[in-house]
Amino acid sequence: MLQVKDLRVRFRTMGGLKALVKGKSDPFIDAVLNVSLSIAPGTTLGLVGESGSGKSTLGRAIMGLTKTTAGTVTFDGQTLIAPGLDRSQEIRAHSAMMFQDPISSLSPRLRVRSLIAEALKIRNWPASKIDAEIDRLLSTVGLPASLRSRYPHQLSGGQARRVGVARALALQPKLIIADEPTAGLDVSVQGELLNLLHRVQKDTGCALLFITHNLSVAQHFCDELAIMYLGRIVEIGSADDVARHAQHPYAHGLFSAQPYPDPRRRRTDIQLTGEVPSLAQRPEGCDFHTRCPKAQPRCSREVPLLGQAVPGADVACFYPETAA
Amino acid sequence: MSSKMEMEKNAPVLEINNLSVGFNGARGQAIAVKDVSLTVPPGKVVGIVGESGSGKTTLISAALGLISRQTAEITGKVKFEGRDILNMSERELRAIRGTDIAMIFQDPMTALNPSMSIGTLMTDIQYRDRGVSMTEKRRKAVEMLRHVGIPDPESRLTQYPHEFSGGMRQRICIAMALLGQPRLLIADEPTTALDVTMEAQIIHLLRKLQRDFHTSIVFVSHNLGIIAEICDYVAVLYAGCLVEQGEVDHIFHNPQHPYTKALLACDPALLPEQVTDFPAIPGEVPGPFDRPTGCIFQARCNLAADICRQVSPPLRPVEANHAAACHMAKGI
Repeated sequence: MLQVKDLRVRFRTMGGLKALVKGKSDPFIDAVLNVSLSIAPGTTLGLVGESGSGKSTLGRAIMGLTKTTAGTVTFDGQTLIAPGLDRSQEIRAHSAMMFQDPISSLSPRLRVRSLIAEALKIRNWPASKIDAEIDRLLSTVGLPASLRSRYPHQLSGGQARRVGVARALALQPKLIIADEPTAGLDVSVQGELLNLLHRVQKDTGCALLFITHNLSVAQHFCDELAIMYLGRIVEIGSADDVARHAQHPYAHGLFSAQPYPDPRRRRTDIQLTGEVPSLAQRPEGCDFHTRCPKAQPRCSREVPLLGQAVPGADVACFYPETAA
Repeated sequence: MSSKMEMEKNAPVLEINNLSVGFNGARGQAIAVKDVSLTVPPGKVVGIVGESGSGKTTLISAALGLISRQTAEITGKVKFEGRDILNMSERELRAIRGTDIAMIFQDPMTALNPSMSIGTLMTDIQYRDRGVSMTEKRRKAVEMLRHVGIPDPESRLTQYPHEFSGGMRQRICIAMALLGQPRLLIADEPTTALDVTMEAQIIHLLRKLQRDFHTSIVFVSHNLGIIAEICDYVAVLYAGCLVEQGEVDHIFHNPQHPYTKALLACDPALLPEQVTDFPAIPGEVPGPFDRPTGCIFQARCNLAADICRQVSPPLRPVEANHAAACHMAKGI
């Protein structure tokens, strides 16, 4: 359904003159660097990483909402984004995005009814059928029809998310990009939203790109996981493998840093110390070697590439944890 | 005499008795906290866990005298080391806050004054130590910053909050809180704004500091994993009511209140493998204006019987150091 190859997104951090004055030859940062991934119809890829790892930027770039610098995006067999080519409108026509903040991504001036109707109008629904379709969508996402006349500020966080799902569904998308769909939801309601997404996917067969920093949700919800660090994917694979037998030291540390709700299993050691370096000062060699407990001299000279560092393994590390 | 000293040593640092907080508004009174009793023993970490709107922050704010009596009706008793907090004058409260009781807030981005350097922030907070020279205050600030794991603290004193990352800022907030050598530290969701790896480091740090300084901590969080990680005792809040409390091991391994059980069941970290059906608690939390008579959890509880709709269940012991407010829980 979706194929991304060597995608790169660069942002300019200062103007040319300022860079000249400051003596900086390279006033750019790479928010997304050489990312390749693919999602099959009906499956879910989880994109996991800490803040600033480039998850959201990657999601936006796939939709053509952020300009890409290099690489290609192939959608449904057609290359629609490539250097010098931007047919991202065709991607957006067949996909939907659920943005991070559920309430502010809904226009505060429109009622729920109009918010959903907008999406239907784009799809050229006849005006006479729109009302019925809105009711159908609302019941699909488990909201009472009486909510149609509410404004976004009258919705709870969970309800606003559901409206977001209804809006996405109105487009009959082949791909949904959900950016942190459970952020800000309490555990007692996030389950319902995840079940809803599951059901939607089963019914429509759409592909889902699930962006999150919640590791346990990602592990249990997604088919595949991609772990991002400083704009690069460091490990990609089936959700269970990555979560249980992470091979990249960063992925391993990330999962071990997760608190487990059992006082008898308290962690006594901290595997990952320090913090993520700034994108403006990307380390030489492996991005992670400054924090890596297993770093060798080679790691500070060469960049380990996904699938090449260790042949056949989908991990960007020269010395991966052996799958034990 | 020795027995009296012994008693003093074990006397609770903070004692909350039947505390209720209601906010008066045009639509009547919104009840945020209802009849909560809680004790914080010396040198222990007490966790308050609950979902958004359960009254966690209101509870601790009221307990510190931070809620104005003009907007809210507060009943009950709060004692800090035997002194009645709710009837203290503003002047007396100010003498306690920041020295005897310190607080760390959720958002380290907004808790620090952006227009002051870290050095100024860290020395200003020692304003009570009148006889102490500026050099000495700076020395103390540097020492404390080193203690919370800020590398090269001397040179960072001249930097401003925006020059630090979120995790570093939270470390600075913790350092500022500890400068007054508080006997009670209140941490209101201190890691919610941080990434997991930073969260693990901050929790590790708080645990270490708690041992070093022997401070009592009230730790507020909605994250069960973190509560399990750091707390000795846990209190579970639901819609402003204390539904269950006890030793951390009892709460996680032998929960008695249906809400606690459901909450634990919902935590995705506890799910065995990939699932297509995530557990959730159906229904919604009752609003602050339309609280039911009887048990607060009845509408979402699958055990609810007639008695639950009529009588509000009192908190009663279910085993040693463990109590639950449920008619269906078996008592001892």
